[in-house]
Amino acid sequence: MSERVTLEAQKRESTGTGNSRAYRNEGLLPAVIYGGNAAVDHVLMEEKVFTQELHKEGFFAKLFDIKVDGKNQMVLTKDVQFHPVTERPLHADFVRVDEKSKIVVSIPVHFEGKEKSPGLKRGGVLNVVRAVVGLYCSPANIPTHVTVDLTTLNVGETVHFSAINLPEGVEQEPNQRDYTIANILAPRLEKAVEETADEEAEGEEAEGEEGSKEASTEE
Amino acid sequence: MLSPKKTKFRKAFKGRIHGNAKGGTSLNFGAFGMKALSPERITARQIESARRAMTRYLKREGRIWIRIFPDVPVSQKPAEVRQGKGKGSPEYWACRVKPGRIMFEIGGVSREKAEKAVELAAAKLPNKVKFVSRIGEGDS
Repeated sequence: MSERVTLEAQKRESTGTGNSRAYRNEGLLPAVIYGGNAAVDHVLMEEKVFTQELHKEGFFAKLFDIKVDGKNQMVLTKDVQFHPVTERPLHADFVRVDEKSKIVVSIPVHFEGKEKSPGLKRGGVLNVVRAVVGLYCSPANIPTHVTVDLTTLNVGETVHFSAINLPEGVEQEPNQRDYTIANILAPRLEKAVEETADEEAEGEEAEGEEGSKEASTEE
Repeated sequence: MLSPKKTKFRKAFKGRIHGNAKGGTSLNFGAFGMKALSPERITARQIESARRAMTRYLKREGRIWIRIFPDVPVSQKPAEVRQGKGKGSPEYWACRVKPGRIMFEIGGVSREKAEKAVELAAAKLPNKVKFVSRIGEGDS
């Protein structure tokens, strides 16, 4: 389980767009704490401190102690809103967590054995379908990450959720199927690469007719 | 090059690009990506050119996703034609990109490679862009 980080916060009296904008201009981040059997707390925290934590791995899987008016509240980050262009955090949602209850957390997936994987050795591409997985556990058992072993994975093969060795007391988030975590795609053939080069040499003639068949993906 | 299979109307208004992107502002497929910082009309040729720059640099490694699609027909009048006599004929397809929009995503390569690929692709595009990576998630 990862360490609990303490974040300082202060109560905010005023809410709404204009007030929040004023707080952000002062380097403060508006946030809200809800859940449990207590009332909703509208708080402010230092944006700089929050951003430092945000850029560490597994931010959404980490428990925080938020100190509001000298009182500690154990919380989990539920959501963070970002500015679409600058990617600066605009607002954060925290949900109170009870030590006895079980919660759903998003845990990052790590991949092991990339060097040994026969599929990757042959030039295959690791296609990560889920970079994070939802787990159901008590706050004391939250893992920092889960590991997927690629050692035996060949081209065209897939790793599903069931292949993950979960720690004790941790299970898959309820009502989920055995979804795909990652697969190894076949390497692009040399021919395909050459074709692309020829295509360019041909110039504009063929371009109009190609259409949108490959729409949006390129391996 | 990318273009719609069929359209409801042959010609479209020129339009203006206002404001920031409302959706498509976060990475959905790959671990790295290219984000638009300025509004611009990106043509299908520019998208294809940027894609090729990235594909060639990455060789057989990794995977690229294109998150924009040119669905605006742009018309032009022929050279040396007087004004009037109706709108010109559609010449190419373009995509209106607002600031904040993720234009391309890259997965399955190292950060350094992805950064270089984005830099090469950015040189083919008319708008300002930046390199982005996932926040608070795995090492994928």
